[in-house]
Amino acid sequence: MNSLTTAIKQKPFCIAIWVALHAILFVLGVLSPWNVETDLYSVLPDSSEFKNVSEAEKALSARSMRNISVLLGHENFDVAKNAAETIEQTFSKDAGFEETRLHVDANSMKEMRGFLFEKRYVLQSPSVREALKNGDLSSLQDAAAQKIYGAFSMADLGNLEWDPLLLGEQNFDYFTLESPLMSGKFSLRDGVLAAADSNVTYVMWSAVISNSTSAMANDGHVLGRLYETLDSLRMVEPGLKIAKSGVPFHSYESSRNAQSEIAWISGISIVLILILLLTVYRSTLPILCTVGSIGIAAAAALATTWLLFGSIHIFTFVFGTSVIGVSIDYAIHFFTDWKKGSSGFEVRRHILKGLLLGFMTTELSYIALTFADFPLLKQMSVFSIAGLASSFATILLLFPCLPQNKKAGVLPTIIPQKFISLYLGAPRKWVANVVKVALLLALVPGLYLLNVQTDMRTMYSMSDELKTSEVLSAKLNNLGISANYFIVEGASPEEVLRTEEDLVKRLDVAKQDSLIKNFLATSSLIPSQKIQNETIENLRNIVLSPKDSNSTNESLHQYLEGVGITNDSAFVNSLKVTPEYLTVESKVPQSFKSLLNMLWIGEVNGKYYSAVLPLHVSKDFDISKLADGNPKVYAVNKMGNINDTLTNLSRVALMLVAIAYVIVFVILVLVYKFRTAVRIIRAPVIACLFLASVFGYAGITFNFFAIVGIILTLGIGIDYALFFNEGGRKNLTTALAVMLSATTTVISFGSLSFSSFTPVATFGLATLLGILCCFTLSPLSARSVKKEDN
Amino acid sequence: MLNKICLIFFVGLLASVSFGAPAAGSKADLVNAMSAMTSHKVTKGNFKQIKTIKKLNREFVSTGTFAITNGEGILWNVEKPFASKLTISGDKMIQESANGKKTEMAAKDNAVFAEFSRTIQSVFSGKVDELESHFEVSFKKSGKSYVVDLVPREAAVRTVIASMVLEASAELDKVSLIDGEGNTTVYEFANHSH
Repeated sequence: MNSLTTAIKQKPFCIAIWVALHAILFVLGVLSPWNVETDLYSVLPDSSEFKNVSEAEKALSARSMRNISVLLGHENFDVAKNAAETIEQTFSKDAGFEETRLHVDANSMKEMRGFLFEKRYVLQSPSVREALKNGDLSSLQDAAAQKIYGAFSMADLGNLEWDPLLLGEQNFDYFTLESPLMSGKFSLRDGVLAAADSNVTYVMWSAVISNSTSAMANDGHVLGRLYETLDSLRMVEPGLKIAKSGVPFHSYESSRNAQSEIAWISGISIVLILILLLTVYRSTLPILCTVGSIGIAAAAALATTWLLFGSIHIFTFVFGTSVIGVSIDYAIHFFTDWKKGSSGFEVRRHILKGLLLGFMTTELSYIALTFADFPLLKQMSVFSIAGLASSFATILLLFPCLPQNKKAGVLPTIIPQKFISLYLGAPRKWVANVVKVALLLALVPGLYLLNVQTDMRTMYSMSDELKTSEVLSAKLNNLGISANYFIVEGASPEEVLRTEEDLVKRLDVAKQDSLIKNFLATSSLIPSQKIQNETIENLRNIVLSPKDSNSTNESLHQYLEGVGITNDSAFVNSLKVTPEYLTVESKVPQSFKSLLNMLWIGEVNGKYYSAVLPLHVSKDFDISKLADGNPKVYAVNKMGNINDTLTNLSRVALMLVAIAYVIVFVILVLVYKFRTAVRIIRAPVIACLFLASVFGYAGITFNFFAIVGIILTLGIGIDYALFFNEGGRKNLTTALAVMLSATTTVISFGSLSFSSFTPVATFGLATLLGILCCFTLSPLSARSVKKEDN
Repeated sequence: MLNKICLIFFVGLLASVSFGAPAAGSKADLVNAMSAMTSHKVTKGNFKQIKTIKKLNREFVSTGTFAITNGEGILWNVEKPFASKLTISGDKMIQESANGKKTEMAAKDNAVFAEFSRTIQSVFSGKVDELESHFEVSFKKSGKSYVVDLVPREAAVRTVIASMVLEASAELDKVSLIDGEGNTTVYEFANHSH
């Protein structure tokens, strides 16, 4: 034991231990894959059924989230079209876009008609399939006769001998005129898609961002160049109206604003903290060491997370800022003492108890969080545990090896002195107690008003211009895609299509009940082979003679004669040929292909998936009800799931931290006795109640990010109380160190409360309030002055 | 964001029935002629529709009655050889087969139908500007008779309807449509009454 005590007082031993610990961690971390998760589904617990479709949903989002459209509008259509032509010429060959679209292929209608004729025996509308199933030949004959002899019918009669019931043309009507895609206001004009609104004609230009293009704004980003081109077009034609739509625009604008905002906020924070530390220490060494210890702690946290989890979630970074907050505090306590001229090892001895208790209490909180059944919470905790452990090791093993401060200077203690004097001239005990009780009671209404809920929709506010653009685009497209949709799973494409067909039956009922207007499903375009087979078999049964399969039946004969077909052999022969069944791999027309790209997710981890999208959903439509009873159909309410999970996550986190605090309290009771333990722990606890109460009074929703602020307050704030208890209320060095710690934390997190990004602002505000309150209460955690004097 | 390219088909279909285009110097005559032709509140009469399919070397002939109420809608009543009805108004189109089965399509739900309805009504209610937005228009006058040639502006539409010809005197006498394959559909109107 003595040899160990001696060893840790020797520089080479300390350095060796520190280097070995970090080297092992970094090597293992470097060897692990450096993945960063941004998928919101990964915040869900493993047991969630949605975990199964997480990858499928990610694949679906990855495609749809690359699509953009720009509407170029003007009172004069030609001006709008010319502007769209300029955009197309400028960007059609740009590597930033995978594909751009302006002009409509003149032959596409012909191609579609040919395809639907060719596939008429396997691909039909539900109403035709129903007629075939029911043997209702007369309704098919009536429909065909109407197309042949009816007014303004533009049915192609060239294939009448092969298709006397005009099933190909029925298909064409169903998949074109009756398509839900037709609900928009766009129509073909001069070779482009155009729609009018408020006397302005808009021309649509659309594109798909290439896979290699970053979602985040950067120099030379293709959307940046698109913005510049649009701006120059608007300068040339001041009346030109531009409406941009699509997720990439939101990502680009948000990241562009965030980057400049973060640059300002962090820039100002860093400068202020540096000025503060330089003013106090009058030396660059403490600053360099502090920054170094933070950097090493963050790297150690990253390496450990990558090593244990294989990836790190973007939310962990937000939570991980606590590592910076606590690391800087440890360093400040060390250097404030070191500045007085003590050797590194002496400083360590002075601050060890407070530092150790602070470290243990904070780590205990994070360890408690690892027991939560949320992978994300576990990850956040591990990140923080590793980061703090590294920081603690640096203070304990590396900093003591620093050379003794030969120029021991006087610390600027005027402000701490004034601050402490406020607590020394305390009023009579009963007055103080009345004030304390009154202040605590004042918190109650705020806590009662508190709304604990996380709604990600309130976290993002788009610019007015983008909001107007999206509203216009939605109005003109009028497709009504809902945020809630279904993901269908199957062991094979056929199973997915069959499961979809079951779901579609339920959606048809919902449609009849006016709960939805329509829906989009792969099986509407590519029916299961079972349905395709039934279609041709039912057709054969309905038209071929039961006695002679080489001719049509009597009922059809009369119709054929009526439309002038005397020889039915072409029709009969075409029915006898085994049809080429449609599959998701079949060559289909461009419009089908575009829809399939959107709906068919394909193979993910050995299973197959597709999306089914209800359109124009009414508020009474219960998506989960439709998925009930079918384990292969997942009702995806992405935002709802994320919100519920984050709300639940917040509650679990708070509960676990509360349990950890009970354990901390027990330890403090063992170390200090009951009364002192209460005195220490009350500062962070009251601070949390205070910040929650302020949120309640202000009507600010107490969301996941505010709760992260609570956890940070509990983790960081208790250290102030511990240090005051250890150092005593009259110890100006302690007061200065705590004041410096609190000020740096307030600057860092407080500045975040000015962010326009709601989650960051909420997190910043919660931490700011919590830390300010903790700091204000922490001198009261010190031993009584009388005892101190004794 | 959905790919809107697929709209093309439907728009093309509409164009197959739509009309429109710039007049080549005699727009005033065209406006006058169309106004005269459509000046009545209600026009009724008989029609004969003859479809000639080159590939089959066959004609499909149907007959019936029509009623056009200026500004309100059109009723097309096919009587022989297979009965059916087509009603087009500003906001919807209803097709009715011989067995009474009705199919309804609302303009607000379907851009193609909305365009189709606007265009077809523009022909029968004399809205020349609406016609010109869809067709290249040429106009020939001979005495009291005149002929309007309409060629769809859209290439995609021309694959379905290559051209249209309206022949009229005091009334609309004949409409001929030629499709992309060279097939023709001729409407002959007779026994106009108001």
